Amino acid sequence: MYKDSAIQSAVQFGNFRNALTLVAKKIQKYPNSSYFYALEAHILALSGKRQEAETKANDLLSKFPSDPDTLKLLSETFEICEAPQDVFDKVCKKYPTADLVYEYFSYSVTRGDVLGMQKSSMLLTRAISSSKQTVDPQLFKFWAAVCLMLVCRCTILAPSFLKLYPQLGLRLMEQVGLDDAQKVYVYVRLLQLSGRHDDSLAEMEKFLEKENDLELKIIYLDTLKDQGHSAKLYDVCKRYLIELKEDDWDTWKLLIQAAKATEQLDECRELVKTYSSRNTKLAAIELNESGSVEQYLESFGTKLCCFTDLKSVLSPELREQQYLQRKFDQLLNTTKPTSADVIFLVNYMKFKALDSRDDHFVAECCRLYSLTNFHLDILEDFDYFPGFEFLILAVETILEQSEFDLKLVYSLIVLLEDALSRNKYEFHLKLWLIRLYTIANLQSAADTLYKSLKIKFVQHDTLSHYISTRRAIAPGLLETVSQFYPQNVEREVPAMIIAGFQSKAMNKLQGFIEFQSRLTNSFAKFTTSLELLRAYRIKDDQKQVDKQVVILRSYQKQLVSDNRDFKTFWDCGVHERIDKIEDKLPGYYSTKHLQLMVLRELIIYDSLSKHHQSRVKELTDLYNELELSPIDKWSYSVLLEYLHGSPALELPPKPQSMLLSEFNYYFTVVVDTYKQMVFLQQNTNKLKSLLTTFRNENREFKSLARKQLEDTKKQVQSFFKTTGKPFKVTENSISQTFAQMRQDLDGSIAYLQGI
Amino acid sequence: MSSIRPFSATDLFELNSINLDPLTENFYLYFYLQYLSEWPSLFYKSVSCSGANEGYMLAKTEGKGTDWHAHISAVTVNPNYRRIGLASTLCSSLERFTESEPYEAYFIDLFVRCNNKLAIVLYEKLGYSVYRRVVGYYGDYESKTNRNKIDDEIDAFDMRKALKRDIKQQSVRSNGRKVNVLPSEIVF
Repeated sequence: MYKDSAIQSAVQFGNFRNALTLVAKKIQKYPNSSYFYALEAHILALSGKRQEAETKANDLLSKFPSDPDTLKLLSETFEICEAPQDVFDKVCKKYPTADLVYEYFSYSVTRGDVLGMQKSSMLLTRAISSSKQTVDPQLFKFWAAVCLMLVCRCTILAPSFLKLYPQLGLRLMEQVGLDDAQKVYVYVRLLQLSGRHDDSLAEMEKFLEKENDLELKIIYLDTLKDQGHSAKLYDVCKRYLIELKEDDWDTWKLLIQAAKATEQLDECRELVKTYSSRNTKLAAIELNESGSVEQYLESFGTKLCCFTDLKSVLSPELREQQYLQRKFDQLLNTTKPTSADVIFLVNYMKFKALDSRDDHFVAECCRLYSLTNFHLDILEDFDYFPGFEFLILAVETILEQSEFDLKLVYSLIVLLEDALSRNKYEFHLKLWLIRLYTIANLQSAADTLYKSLKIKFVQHDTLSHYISTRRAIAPGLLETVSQFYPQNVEREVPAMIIAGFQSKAMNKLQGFIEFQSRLTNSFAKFTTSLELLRAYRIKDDQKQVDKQVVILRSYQKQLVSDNRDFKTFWDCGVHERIDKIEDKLPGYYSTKHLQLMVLRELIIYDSLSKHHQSRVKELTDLYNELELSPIDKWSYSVLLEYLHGSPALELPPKPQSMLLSEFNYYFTVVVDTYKQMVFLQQNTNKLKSLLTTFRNENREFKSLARKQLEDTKKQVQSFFKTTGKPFKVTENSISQTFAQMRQDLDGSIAYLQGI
Repeated sequence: MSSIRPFSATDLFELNSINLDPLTENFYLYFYLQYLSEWPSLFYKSVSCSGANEGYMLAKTEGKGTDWHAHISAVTVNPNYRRIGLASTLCSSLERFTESEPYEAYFIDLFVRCNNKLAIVLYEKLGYSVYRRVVGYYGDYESKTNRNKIDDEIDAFDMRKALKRDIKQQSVRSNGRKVNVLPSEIVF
């Protein structure tokens, strides 16, 4: 962003005084350039002189500079000073040239500012009409209409605007014309925002006659339903399903709803029989047709979709019906079940798991896994073996019923690693293992599996919580995760939003804008930043800490979007979260945890903020409200002692087992708390003596950890000779897994010894 | 229970059960967003009644004159929804969308690794046939230079299906397996 590399590098290294000297020279050389005045204000703001920066920025803005780079710097300066202003709007109203207004529009897109997009696109229609440029004015009227639609759908507006904007949009669209699906889409949305639903139906009907646009079809059907036009809805659904043969479940469902409302169920039943598909078989179940469940099972009992399709409709009585039981018994006597048989058995056990899971169930899962896993030896590379679900069902049952202890965690790791060695692409097994590794202080093993999943780009946002929550070893992969936001989100998404406008993909823009907002305000982005900040603070890397603080300053509680994927982990077995198990696994951060952690860092590193006092109050309230682990509670109490003078809690006793991640976490928090107090220039004598004791002790950590691991290995061996015998895990497999675990544990302990 | 639904950018948050599959590629954000911008109606998904994503189709149009066609860039299905004809549904929907207005393409094509027998059989069942072998398509620079050095591991079959606009079926041929081209020779 800086036009001068020397100034940029001075700022990057935090050498603000030098940067200001260089800027002063530039001002002397180019006294008429607004840019360097804006840069001066910007650097003053970064250096903490916010009052002076704001005054200088206001002085400059009152002169209405029209250079876009100057305006961008000014806008950011006001933001750092916590006094945001729409500088482009102010200047564009005075100098509404097409180029400047287009810059305003682009800048609004970059910032995900829908209101700015709306204002600038409206200004653009006027700027273009009075400019000499050879651009199509209709295009910008279309953009302005789209932005009016977007601002109504994506932001909270006052009722008067909510009434006015659609009217304005409609007027613009009437000038633009309705010659393609995108224009009709925008027009229909604006009609609906104006409350003119019947007019919107007429427009869609007219267009769908000549072009079968999927998006408009869906809006059309939904509007017919919402407006209570059941007879029409019935006829239209019938046309799509029967005449056009579009076998679509949602359309079948709407047909059934409309048939019920118009008393045409008999005809509807006949229509369902006109062809045979998964959707029509399910429609027959929806209509309570006799024998429909059996018919579905006969066709789809050997398909994996069977369980999720029937789960909500198959009552316990139906699950025990003869067809399922008879086929199951018959397959049990098969020596070599086919892959279709394996799927049937998996489905059967899944239905069974809905009703009862006990020791007998675990034994049955083991037996079926043994009976079917010969398929693993004949699979083509990358082929899918559904029999892994027998293991998942068994593991879930064991976790649900057993006491959750170290022996169990390590035994399950051995079991799942054994399965994964034969089925190396199975991602559910990997996700389960990653979670177990992160309990077991084997973070580097978790990182290795995360890498093996080839997780990239947006997947980092949805899956990184598996390796980042309460991470207590080096940043490692988190640096890759954090790069996703500046390198991909900030660089790629705004450009593609502009491309969406240019290629007139107007029905996709709302999704683009929501996508951008959800990534910009992503929960995972902030937690990654917090975890990195702690790791860098421990290593005394203040430059990197400062970078993370910049990210955290953009945090806005009300905008945070939690995109973390908690679903895929449970997307096998009974395909739902089992609370009794989830409660035993380490919890992920909640929204309030995130808030508490962000507040702590901003209180420490952004103490000049106007919000400092309110942040301190909010942190104190959250500290009293949230249930924190003893070590976290202690750490916050040390900060509160600094802030309020209230005495800190006693340091809780350290965890005994080094085979649990909480061991690493405990020591990491102690060191981190010390570093926080050093930054705040607090008296750290007491904390220092704790650290000295810790550093004296940690020389012994490695040998102690190895001894504990050896003891656990014996317990695991005993588990697979008794309770876990049906899993048929070999002695060799146990030894191999423990050899690798020893290395991973050494890595975790080495981290502690280095801090 | 499957419904074909338009793909939205925010659906990218919900693809793990499909994209964690080792054969499914995760692309840069701009790649997905470009398809949504340029060909908004050719990027769609199949959803179950509970809203779970069962699979998706990522396609585009390109070419001039009688080469004007739709190209399948990716079609992929969640492991829980395989073997129920979902890939066929996604492909036949593409035919429906591209053979009529506003696209009116002459044919649909796709590239498949020559050793991916399962996929080739599936596409043949759907009416696709091999138009040509693209030698070294999935290989390194070296492998893309000699059209006679065939290798099923790294060569692709360019498979095509003629649409109703191609009345004379000029976009397909019966001896496609014997026609070798280099990737650089494919220009539309």
